[in-house]
Amino acid sequence: MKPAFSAKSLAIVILAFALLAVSAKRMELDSLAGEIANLAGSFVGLSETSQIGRSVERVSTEMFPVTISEAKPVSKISNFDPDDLPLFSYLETRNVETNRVNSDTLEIETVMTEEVWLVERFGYLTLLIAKMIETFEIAIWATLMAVAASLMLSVLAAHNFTPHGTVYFMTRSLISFFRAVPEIISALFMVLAFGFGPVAGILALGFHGMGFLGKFYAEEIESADRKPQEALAAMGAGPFRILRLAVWPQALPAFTALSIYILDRNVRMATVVGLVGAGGIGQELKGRYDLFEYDRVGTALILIFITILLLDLAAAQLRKRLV
Amino acid sequence: MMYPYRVPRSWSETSGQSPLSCLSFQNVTKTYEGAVRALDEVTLDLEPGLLTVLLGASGSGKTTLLKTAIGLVEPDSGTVRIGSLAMAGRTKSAARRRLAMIHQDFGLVTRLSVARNVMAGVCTETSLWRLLLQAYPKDVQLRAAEALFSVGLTASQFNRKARDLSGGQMQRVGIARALMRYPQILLADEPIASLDPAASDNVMQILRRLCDERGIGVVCSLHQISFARRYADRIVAMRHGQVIFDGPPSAFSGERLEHVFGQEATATSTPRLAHPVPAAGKYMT
Ligand SMILES: Nc1ncnc2c1ncn2[C@@H]1O[C@H](COP(=O)(O)OP(=O)(O)OP(=O)(O)O)[C@@H](O)[C@H]1O
Ligand SMILES: [Mg+2]
Repeated sequence: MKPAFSAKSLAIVILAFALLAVSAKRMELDSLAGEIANLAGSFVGLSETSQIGRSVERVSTEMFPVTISEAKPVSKISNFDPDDLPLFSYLETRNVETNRVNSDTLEIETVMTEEVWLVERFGYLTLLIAKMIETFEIAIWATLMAVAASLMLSVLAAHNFTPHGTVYFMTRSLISFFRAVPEIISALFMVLAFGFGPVAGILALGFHGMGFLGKFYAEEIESADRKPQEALAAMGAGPFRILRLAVWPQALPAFTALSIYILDRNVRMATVVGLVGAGGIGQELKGRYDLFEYDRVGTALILIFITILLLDLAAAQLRKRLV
Repeated sequence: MMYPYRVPRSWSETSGQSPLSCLSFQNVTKTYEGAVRALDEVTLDLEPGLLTVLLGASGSGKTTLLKTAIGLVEPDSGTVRIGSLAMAGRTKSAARRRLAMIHQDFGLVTRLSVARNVMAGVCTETSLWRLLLQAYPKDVQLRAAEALFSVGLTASQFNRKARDLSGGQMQRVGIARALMRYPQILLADEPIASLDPAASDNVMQILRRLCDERGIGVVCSLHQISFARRYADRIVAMRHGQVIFDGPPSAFSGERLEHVFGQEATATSTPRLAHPVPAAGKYMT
């Protein structure tokens, strides 16, 4: 009978645990554990407050209730017409404190003035939805760019269709490079090159998508059934005809599934690259975060969450239809 | 169905002259990298209107011979011609146009419809943009329907996916695709190896009919001696890349059979065995 575990496997397990222990210390997981214990303690009344509890409380009180409206003083709106208000909006009179220098006493004094404000009930939400649509547009263009370029690259990167070994090596390297650079890093550089806005986001996501799709399209081309390809070759068909007639029909379902995955991923990543200024709702979110307007950050987060949820459902439906 | 030409039935019909569509091998030698000689100085004339069966143990070079014939494999030396056209250089594509091939595994795109698979038979004569859009001209569609009817498929099967067909039906689709090319010689590499006896018989009958009714030359490699005896006009047996027998089935005696599939042949065959080699006796059904 063989023992369930040998001395060697026992040694490996002990070593693994020792390494994890060292790493946990380096990652300060021990203080996290302490904080969690503290949090648990505060719930049952053992300790008074915990660091985590305080942070969560602070953020949530600042974030909620979230803001979906937008208000502006009427005086700042050019050509304001009180008889023609936008949809879902009303006028409100607010007391505004202003500081000004009293010309007589030369002292700074606070004055209360009455101002008329235009409040748009869904003003901020509307703006966010527009930003979300921009994010979608970024994702769609990036996906189109990745799909179009990958269809060409993958043929050169498939060892059974590449015109030459050098071309194969070069396209494979290029594809690996695109995949190796994280979107957020290339977005930083694209923002430097093309300025803030959607173009940077499209390029950053597009190149990363090419790194992914180029590789997997090529693998689909390589693994397509060779028998019909050989039958066409026996007729004297060249690579283009073989690709169109024998490879494309076989690879299409996989190509579609991969492209839908990239579209889905691009919508999620388009919000992330927005954080570094590459357009869309991410850019809006980061701007509000930097202004400590957590109530608006909260709105954006909820909108992103709902969108991703809907997107997941839509992608699942699409996949079912097409594959 | 109308057939656009009538190939001379045999040498005699062309009064001693080599027929235009004779497939001839002259001293064809092929050695794969590091492997044994797959073809060794093969000299052979394959005539239209005859059904020639290639016999030989696994690894004897049958597939290589057929692939050399259609230009999938370049011989190391020697020439392959069809009529006056060499299967090499500038005449290669013209030479290829006179040939068609069917395969053991059918070579169909199983996700596509039967009709699409058949129309692919004329892909080399169809413009790239038509292929891209899969917009075949009307006459090609008609030709495909004719070809499918001639191998016994019904109109209701044209738009079915190839993967929904039985093996025998798939091979008939393969034959229909080959017929789209109006071949003078039809090469068949073990066309019935993966079919049951009834479907095999059906496919062999179709090949036989193509010889008799249209004067197409069929060159068919087989492992079943019984089918060879029943359908062949001529048997060409190979061993170690050489032709060791060439004659009518009546001359192919049991002794010859022993020689073709003998013990020695099995022992020297290379590891690339597509399927096990049965003992000679098994063929005598
Ligand atoms: N692509 C290849 N590369 C290297 N060697 C090959 C290749 N194809 C065939 N061979 C070798 O060439 C010889 C002849 O093979 P071939 O496929 O022509 O035989 P075959 O008579 O068709 O056999 P089977 O009855 O198994 O189909 C064999 O020794 C085989 O191993
Ligand atoms: Mg073979």
